[in-house]
Amino acid sequence: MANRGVQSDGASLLSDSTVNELYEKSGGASIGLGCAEFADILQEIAAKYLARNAKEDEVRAFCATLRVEELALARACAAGGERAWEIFLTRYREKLYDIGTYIAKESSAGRELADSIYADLYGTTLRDGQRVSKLASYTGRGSLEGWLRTVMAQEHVNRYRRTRRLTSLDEETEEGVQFAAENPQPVVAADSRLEASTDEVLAGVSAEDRFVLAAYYLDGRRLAEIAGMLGVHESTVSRKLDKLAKLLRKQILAKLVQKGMSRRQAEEALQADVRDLRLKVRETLTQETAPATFSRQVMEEHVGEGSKERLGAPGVMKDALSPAAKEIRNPEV
Amino acid sequence: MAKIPTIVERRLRAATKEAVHPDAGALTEFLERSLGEGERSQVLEHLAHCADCREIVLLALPEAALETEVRPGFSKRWLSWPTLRWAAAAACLLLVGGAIVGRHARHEKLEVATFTAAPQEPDGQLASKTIHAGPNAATLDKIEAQPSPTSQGNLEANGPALSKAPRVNSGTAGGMLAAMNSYKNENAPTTALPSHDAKLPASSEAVEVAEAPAPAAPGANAAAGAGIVTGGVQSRMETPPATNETVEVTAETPVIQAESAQMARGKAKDSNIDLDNKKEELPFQGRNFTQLAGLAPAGLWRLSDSGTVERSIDGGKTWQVIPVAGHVVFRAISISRSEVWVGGAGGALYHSGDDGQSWVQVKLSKDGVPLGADITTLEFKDADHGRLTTIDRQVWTTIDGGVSWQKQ
Repeated sequence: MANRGVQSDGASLLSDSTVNELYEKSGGASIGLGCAEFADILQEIAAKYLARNAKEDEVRAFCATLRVEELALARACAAGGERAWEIFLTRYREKLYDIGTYIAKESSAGRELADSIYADLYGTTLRDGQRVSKLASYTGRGSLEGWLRTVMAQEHVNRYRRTRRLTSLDEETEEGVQFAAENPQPVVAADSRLEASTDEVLAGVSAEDRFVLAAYYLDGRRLAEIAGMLGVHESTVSRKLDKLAKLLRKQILAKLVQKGMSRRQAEEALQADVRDLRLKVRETLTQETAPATFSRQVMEEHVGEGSKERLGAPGVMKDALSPAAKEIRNPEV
Repeated sequence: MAKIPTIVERRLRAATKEAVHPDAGALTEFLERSLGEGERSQVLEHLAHCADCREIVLLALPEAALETEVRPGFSKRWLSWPTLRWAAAAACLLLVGGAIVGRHARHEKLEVATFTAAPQEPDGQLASKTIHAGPNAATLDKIEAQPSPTSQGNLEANGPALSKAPRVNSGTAGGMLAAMNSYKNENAPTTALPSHDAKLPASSEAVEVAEAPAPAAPGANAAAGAGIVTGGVQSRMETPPATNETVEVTAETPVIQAESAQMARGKAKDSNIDLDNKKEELPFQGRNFTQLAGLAPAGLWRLSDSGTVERSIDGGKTWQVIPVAGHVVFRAISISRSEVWVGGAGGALYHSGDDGQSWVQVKLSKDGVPLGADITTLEFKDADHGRLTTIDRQVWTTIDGGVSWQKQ
């Protein structure tokens, strides 16, 4: 195997011996990937994740964690290698269909999803005369199968968003959606100290805890799902949520008292927000007559929680209603 | 579950930032727990704000991970109200029974004391009447006059009841413990794998396959169903052969000449154990078969870059090489419960029905021509339905758990 030599664009992060060792391990020769190309790939990945002045040992240790065999396969496929594609299809074709079915919860939609991914993986689009394959972005840090899952999940979520955006109002009417009237202004103005205190307390909570709170309370995920995402036991998530609920309440109360409220006032503010009561009543009423997601959209807009309001229904994407649609929908206009 | 204040929910929802979304690689590494601490925090920070990325992460999570992540040893059903109710009732009965037995024993002691205190005839001889007739009448009256928590009638009623009162550890679960023991005798032990020298490669490039069935297989439930399904599959494996056997299987004939299922290591010494005496030694006394089945350590399987079979029982932190056939380079693996299939170069196909404890080579042939092409994919949607493909695009399927294979 020829020595690679130093790259022309500057000092290489990898020594020849490291490259050769990894190249042999990757089996790149048998799938049409040359050593030089493989070295460039490693260089690119190491440069992406490591500091410029990373030491040889650090680079070697980092590269040792890469899944070089899968990396070589993916990049050989991205380069259009036939042999590589044969192996890829043999290994992953059925898996992709299965993953698609699991994600789309239905086999024909799953197959369609898998087929659309194939086009992206193969690289049907050209840029500057070069094929653009999604496989070129695989870095070998995670498993190729896991990466394919994530890519398919991303595609599915993007498709869902596009589909929601294109849903017509006529279809909504046919489904029996009723358009809620505009919310009247709340009688009592919300205390800004409550929001500020809550924001301060949330800022002090760790990212993992906020993720758990968001997944459970905003997305409505099950404990098992959250546990699976974090790689912990279900009971760990359950205990964490209990602990967080108590801690948040305690800390918000303390903040409110610091900001000048009496203890009683703070407890009242935390327990009974007038808007909350209004929302609850409206929610109850609208759920009886209309799909929750659409009605809640209208509700949330009028509550005015901010420009980046997210819908509370699980799995529902960002509000994609166009301004024109909003105007038509609001009977008051 | 305690609820958070509504204001918290609202502020969580409002705290959304336009940020650069992590790419597929970062999310994959997050799910596979291969990110460094700093990177993981960054991804979590983003996920805390981005519902889309949370959705993606959940969809990208293998279905198996939702089951195998549940640590063995804990089943929600153990804490369900019906189970707790019966456990509480059994505990109360035990206490009451213990109290009654204790009092009964005290009564007997008193009666014995009365016997010895019986008055003697003035001439020093014990009156035979006194001796044989029981305690002194006056003393007996005294005893009977004393308030007793339970009447004699109650004692008699409770006596047999006490003897029948279910003991938590062996009464209510007695049949289940027997089943558990039977399960232990017939199946792989639920203890750790035999230790192997950790022949871990310098890198961990391999396809990792979770132990539960492929995502398309519906209704998978490792904790609850593992034991039952395994039992069903194991029923086909009747003879306990040596650890490795070779089985010739032709494409059309549905016969497997010998099947595997090596017995548990502890079978010989456990087969005659006295449950009552051994119950203190059982680590999970009082639990039923299904719960115990779920206690087996969940494993992850993978094929290393060099084609060896590896397994991890600690969620991927460490990996042990599982010796199957030293000379074979394996390229495909499929897991369904404790059924493990591996295939590789030269048509090599091996099967384990006991989580890798023992292996049987399955040689496929059609019309006398053995399969010689490299096996590149293996897929078992469940214990019965499997499919393999080879490098030269042959496809073989089975619908009976590998007893027979058909070339497509």
